[in-house]
Amino acid sequence: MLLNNLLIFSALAAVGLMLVASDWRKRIAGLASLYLVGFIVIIQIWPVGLASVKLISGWMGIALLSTSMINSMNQANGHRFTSEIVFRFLMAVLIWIVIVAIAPSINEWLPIPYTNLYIGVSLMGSGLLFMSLTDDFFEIFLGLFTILAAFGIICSSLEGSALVTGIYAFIIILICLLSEYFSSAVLDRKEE
Amino acid sequence: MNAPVIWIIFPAAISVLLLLIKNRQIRGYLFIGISSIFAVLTLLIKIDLSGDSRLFAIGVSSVLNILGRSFILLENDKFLIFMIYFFNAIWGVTSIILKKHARFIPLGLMYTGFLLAAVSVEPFQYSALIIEIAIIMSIPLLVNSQADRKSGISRYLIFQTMAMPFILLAGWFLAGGEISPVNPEQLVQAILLLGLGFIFWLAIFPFHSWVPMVFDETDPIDSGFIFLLLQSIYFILILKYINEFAWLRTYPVFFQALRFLGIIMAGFGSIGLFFEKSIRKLIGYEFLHSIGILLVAVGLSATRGITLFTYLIGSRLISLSLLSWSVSHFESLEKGMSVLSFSDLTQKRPITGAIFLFSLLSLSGMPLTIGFPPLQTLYQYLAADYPMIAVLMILSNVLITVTVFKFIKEILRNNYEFRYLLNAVKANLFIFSILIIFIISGFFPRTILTGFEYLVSGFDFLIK
Repeated sequence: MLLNNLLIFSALAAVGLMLVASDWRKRIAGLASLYLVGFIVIIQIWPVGLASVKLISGWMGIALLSTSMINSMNQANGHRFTSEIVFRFLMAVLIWIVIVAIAPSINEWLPIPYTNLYIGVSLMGSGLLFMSLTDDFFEIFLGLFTILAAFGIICSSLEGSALVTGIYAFIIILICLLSEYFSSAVLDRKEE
Repeated sequence: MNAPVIWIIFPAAISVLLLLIKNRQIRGYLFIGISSIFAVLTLLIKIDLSGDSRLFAIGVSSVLNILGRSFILLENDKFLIFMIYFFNAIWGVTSIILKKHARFIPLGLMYTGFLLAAVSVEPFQYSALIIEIAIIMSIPLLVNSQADRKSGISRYLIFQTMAMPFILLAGWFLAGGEISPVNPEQLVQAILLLGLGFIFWLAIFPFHSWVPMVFDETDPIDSGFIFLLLQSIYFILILKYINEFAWLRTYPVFFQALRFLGIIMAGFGSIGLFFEKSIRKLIGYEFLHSIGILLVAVGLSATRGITLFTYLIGSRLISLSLLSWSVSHFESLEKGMSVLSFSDLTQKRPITGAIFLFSLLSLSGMPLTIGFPPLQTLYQYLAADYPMIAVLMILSNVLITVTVFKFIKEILRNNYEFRYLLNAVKANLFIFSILIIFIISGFFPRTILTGFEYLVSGFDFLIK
C-alpha cells in the first residue's frame, strides 16, 4: 500500500516537474524519473528482463533527445512567467483530480491494479496537456513520450508480449530519431 | 522462402541498400524497376501452391512466424500487393517525368513493406504498432527537416500516435471474441475503443485539422503517395475487422456510425474545398471528402456496399493521384499555388490544367469520368434506403462541381476569345438557358421522358 502510494506520488511529481520547469534538463530529468517509476510498476507484474527492455529503451530515447537538445542551439529554455507555471500546475492538478473521480469506473472496464491504472491514465492526461500547450517540437516529443510511457504501464498490466514490448521499444527509439532529425535542421539553419 | 519475406522484408532491405546510391536518377530508376519486379512477382508466384501447379508458377509458403506472431500473405492478398507495388512504380515514373525529387524514393519501399506487414500480421490487432512505425518513418518522407512550417506534421504525428493505444486496447478486449463477444457490455467497450482508434487514424471530425495543414506543408507528390497508401490500408484494416468479427457485422449501430461519420466528412471536405484558396490545402479537403464517401460506402453494410467500396477506392486512387501530379507539376512554375494564380498557370501548362479539372470532376462523380459509375451506384443505394444521406452526398459533390466551374471561370476571365463568347451569352440569355436545361435534362432523363408515355396511353390494345 505504502509502495503504491509512493509510486503514484513519484509519478505525479515527475510529470509535474516536466510541466512547470523551464530548463530542458529538468524536464528530461522528470521524464527519466517517469520511466524509472514505470519500470518499478511493471516489475511487479512482468519478469525483470522484459520490464527492463522498457526502461532501457525509454532511457536510450531520453539520451537521444538530450543529445539532440545539446546539439541544437534552440535549447527550449524559454523563460516562464509565474502565472504560466501556476496555470500549468493547476491544470495538471485538475486533471489528476478528475482522474481520481473517474478511475474506479475505468477500473471496471480495465481490470488492472488501481495503482497502474491511476498512474497510466493521469500520465496520459498530463501528456496530452503537455502537447496541447505548445507548438515546440521538443515539448511535443516529451508529451508523446509521456503518453507512450503511460500506455506502456497500462498495456503491460493487461498482457506480457515480447513482440509488443520489442516493437514498442523500437517506436520509442524511432520517435527520438525523428526529434534528432528535426533538431539537426535547426542547427544547420543557425550555422547558415 | 515465404510470401512475407518476398513482399515485406526484401523491399524494406532493398530500400536501405538503395540509400547507398548517391545518384538520384539511378536511385529513381532502380526504385521503379524494383517496385515493378515486386508487382510482376505477384503474377508469377503462387502462394501455398498445391500439387497440380501451373507450369511456370513458383510456390512459396504464406506464413512467417516471429516471436509467436505470424505474418500471413495469402493468395487472395496478391491483388493488394500488386496494387501497392504498381502504385509505387507509377508514382516513381511520374516523379521522374515531372522532374521532381520525390522524397519517397527509395524509402517508400520500406514504408510500403510496413503497411503490408500491418495488413498481414496475426493477431491483426498488432497492426496498430506496425502502422505507428510506418507513420513515424513517413514523416521524413513528407517534409524536409529544414521546413519552416511543421505544425501540421506534428499534429499528424500526435493524432496518429493517439490511435495506437485505442486499437491495441480494443485488440485486448476482442481477443478470443471472434465469434461472439463475452458479454454485451464488452461489445460496447470494444466498439468504442475501436471506433476511437479509427477516428484518429482516418482523421475524422474533430481530429481532421492536420490533413489540410500537412498537405499545405508538403509537396503534393510526397503527400499524395504517403496518404493515398495509408488511407487504402486503413480501409482494408476496417474491412478486416468487419470480416473477422461476426458480431461486429451484425451490429447495426456500427454501420450507422460509419454512415453518419462518412457524411459529416464528405460535407466538411466539400465545404472546405469550396472556400479554400490554397491549391495544396484543396487536395487535403478533397482527401477528407474521399474518406467520407468511402466510409458511407462501407456503412451500407451489405455485400453490395463492400463491392461498391472497391470500385470507389479504385476510381478515387486514380483521380486523387492525377490531382496530386497535376498540382505538383504546376508547382514547378510557382510554389504555394493559389486559386487566383490558376488561370495564368493554366495558360502556361494547359494539359496539366485539364488534368486538374478532370480529376476534380471525376472525384465529384461527373458523367464520362471514371468516378461517375461508382458514385451514381452509391446514390442509387442511398436513395433506396437512406434518402437524407443521399441528398447530403449529392449536395457535397455539387459543391465540388461548382468549385470546378469557379476554376473554369477563372480561366475564361483572362481569355479574350471566351470574352466574346460571354458577351454572346449575355445577348442570347434565353437560348443559353434552354441549352443549360437541355444539358441538365441529360442527367435526369426519366423525369422528362416518362411524361411522353401518356402519348400512347389511349391505345389500350397496344400497350396492355
